[in-house]
Amino acid sequence: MPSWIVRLTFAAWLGVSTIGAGTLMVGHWYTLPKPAADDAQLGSALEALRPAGRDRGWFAVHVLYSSCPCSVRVLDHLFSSERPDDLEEVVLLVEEDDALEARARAAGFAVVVVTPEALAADYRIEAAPMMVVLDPSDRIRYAGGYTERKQGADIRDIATLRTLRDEAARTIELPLFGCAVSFELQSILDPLKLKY
Amino acid sequence: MWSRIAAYVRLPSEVTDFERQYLARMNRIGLWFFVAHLPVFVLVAFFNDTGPLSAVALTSFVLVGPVLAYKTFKSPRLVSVSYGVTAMLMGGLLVHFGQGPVQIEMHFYFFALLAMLAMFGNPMVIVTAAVTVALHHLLLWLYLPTSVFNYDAPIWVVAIHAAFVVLESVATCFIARSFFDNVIGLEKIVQSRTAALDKRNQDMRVLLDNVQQGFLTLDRSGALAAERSAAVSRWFGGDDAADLGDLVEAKAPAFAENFRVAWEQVEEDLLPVECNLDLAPSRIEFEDRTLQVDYQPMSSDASTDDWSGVLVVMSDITSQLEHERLESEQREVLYILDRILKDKAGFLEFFEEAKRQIQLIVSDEIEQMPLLKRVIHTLKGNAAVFGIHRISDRCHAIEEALKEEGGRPSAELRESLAQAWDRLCESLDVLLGGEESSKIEVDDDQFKNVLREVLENAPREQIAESMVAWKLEPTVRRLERLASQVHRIGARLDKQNIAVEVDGHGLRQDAEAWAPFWSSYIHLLRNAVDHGLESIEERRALGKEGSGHIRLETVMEGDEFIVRLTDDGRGIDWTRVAEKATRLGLPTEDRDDLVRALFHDGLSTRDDVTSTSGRGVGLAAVHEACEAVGGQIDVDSKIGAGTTFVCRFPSSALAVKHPEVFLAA
Repeated sequence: MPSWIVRLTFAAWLGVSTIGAGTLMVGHWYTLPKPAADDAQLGSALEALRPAGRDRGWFAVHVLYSSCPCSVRVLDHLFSSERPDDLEEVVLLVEEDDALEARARAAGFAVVVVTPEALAADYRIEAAPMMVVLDPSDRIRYAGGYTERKQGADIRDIATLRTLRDEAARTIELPLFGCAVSFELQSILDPLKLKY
Repeated sequence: MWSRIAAYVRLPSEVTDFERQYLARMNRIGLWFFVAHLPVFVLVAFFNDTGPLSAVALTSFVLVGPVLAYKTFKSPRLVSVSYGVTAMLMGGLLVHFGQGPVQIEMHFYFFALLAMLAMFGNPMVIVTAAVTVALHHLLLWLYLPTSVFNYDAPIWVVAIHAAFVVLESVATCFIARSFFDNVIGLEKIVQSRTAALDKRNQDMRVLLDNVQQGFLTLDRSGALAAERSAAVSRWFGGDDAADLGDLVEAKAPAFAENFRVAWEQVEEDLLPVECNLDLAPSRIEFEDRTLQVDYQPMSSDASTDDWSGVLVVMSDITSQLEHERLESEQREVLYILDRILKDKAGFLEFFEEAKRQIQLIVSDEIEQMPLLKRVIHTLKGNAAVFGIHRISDRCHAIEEALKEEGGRPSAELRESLAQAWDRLCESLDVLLGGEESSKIEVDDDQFKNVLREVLENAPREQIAESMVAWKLEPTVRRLERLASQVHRIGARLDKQNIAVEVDGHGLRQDAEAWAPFWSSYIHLLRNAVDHGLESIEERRALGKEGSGHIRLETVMEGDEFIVRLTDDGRGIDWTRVAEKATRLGLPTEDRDDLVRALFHDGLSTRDDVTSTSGRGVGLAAVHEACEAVGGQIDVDSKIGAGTTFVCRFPSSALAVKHPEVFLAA
């Protein structure tokens, strides 16, 4: 093989590989956006999800993306952990997934399925998994991730809720580790469409 | 500083065979290592639900680079460098496919691979990997500035993250370079050292090829080292000789034999090696060359006295010896000149007598060996008296050869004597002016006496006899000449300050007629100093004063002319004379027998022979010379009291011959 072809091939490999690996990393490194807690549209949209017929208490919305491994891990946690009795919870599932839906309902969770576009448009949410907590007055007290570290095994949903309820003035922020849901965010983080 | 860093990171351009082989092996292992990532990554993707097919595709794509490099790159180092890039890309894939609880831990792959890259022994591989990562981060930062600040991490967290990578890269570069310099580059180091050694050996070879001395070394077993100076090969050849004896055997067999004997002592190692080497022969004589041989023990460990071999240094001293010989001969000539100025007649007489003796010896005319030995011995003694060592030394060499080998003097030794004499004559011709010996010296008294007789009209016969007396020599002059030799012989024998008393009693004699007698008489004198007088220590122990006393006199006693030599030495051991005489088969019945035995050829009371005496030749020569002028020799000696030799001649022996006889002569 002529040496120039070898060099050209190697250079092409080097460039494509570097860019490709770079795009893969972006998805892991990029700080996933969280909605603003005082977003009125988000507040009203979440309020609408609150089940009717019950006294208003603390309300948690789990935004989970069926194509996102992190979201699936959170779902597994929700299904296997003991949930507080006085907590109302809804799974806002992005994209339909019958098996997940069935499991969620079997575990006692209300499930609302939305499209990525609707999630972004109605809830201003572009990434998952994300937990949003509303107090009895429907004020958003928390909007963030489930773990302190990326892919962390310690899912702190219960602990976060307990802290919010016990310490009224306390604010908690956990980073959002997971997947881009909106097409806009996905096109930024994965321009080569290697991940999404 | 940057240039030093660059020089440290960039390896020398030369790739040794060892490095090429090593990198070929490591690159092959590295390639298989990366290929093995494919199934692993598929499994990782499968268990983390991150897409096994995607893992197959992406990992295979990343493998294109190293496979391409391995198959096509000529430089093994470039292949390794491509592995630096590959390692970081694989790390990226692993982090991607390892999304799950251990995703953070997957980042350790980068640090592990950075360290593993050190095995290529090339800092450039690590730098390339680190640059790949840095470039990666830079591109991402340009694309999405917040991406590098992982999940809103502050700048110092990013700095710490980068610092660890830099720290490990620097450390790994150091390890890789050290690995290259000390292991992979070992061959180069060896080559460099070998080249330096070759250069040194070459310099040493040039030195050995040009030095005029012979240098060679022997190990403890006496084996010759291959390296030696060219002079050794030039002199002896024998490049395949096993030891020094073999080397010189053909040219100097005597040296070879003596050296082997000496080396046996060295190998026995009973004495310090220096002492044993002192016994080794120090001169090699072959062809017309003389070599001085010096031995120096060598030690490979300066901290111990143990020797590992011997350095042999051969110096050609032929020119030096010739120069010394010429200097010696020059000194001899000066000494002779001094003697001529002091006693010209005496020297001329010796010269004429020596010329005759030389002729007899060189022509090998004398058939009777005892007579020949006497001539040689007499010539030796008189030459020594006049300080002509070139003659006395050669006479001594002939005597030694006759003693050891028997037979007659070899032509070589006779030729050597003849040449020495010829060189002496050439020098003396200038001093003596050719016909000097035929001149007559007249002192003022003698001249006035004859003048007076002429003016007083004395009888012609009386005037003629007075003039004949001009040719006569006072015997005291002879005695004084001999006396001066006593001190010289004494000095040589460590018997300084011998008191010599001379008394001629106003007698005169025909110098020419008595020349052979006085020529031989020196033997009595040498015997008296050497045998008769004790050493100073012995004399002191015996209660004797001084270094000894010798009296020389000529005297008329009755109708006899007496020449007497008396010493106060140890006296003659007649018992020993009797023993020696018995061994020679001579009668020892009475004193006369013993006296006769004493003057017999070959009898000496000494067991050892010196350059001065001890051969039993001298007294026989005197005895014969005495009888030749009509005399008899007798001896009177007492143990511890001294010895007196008396030569008796009839008064007629001193009588002045008729003037006509001189005219006829």
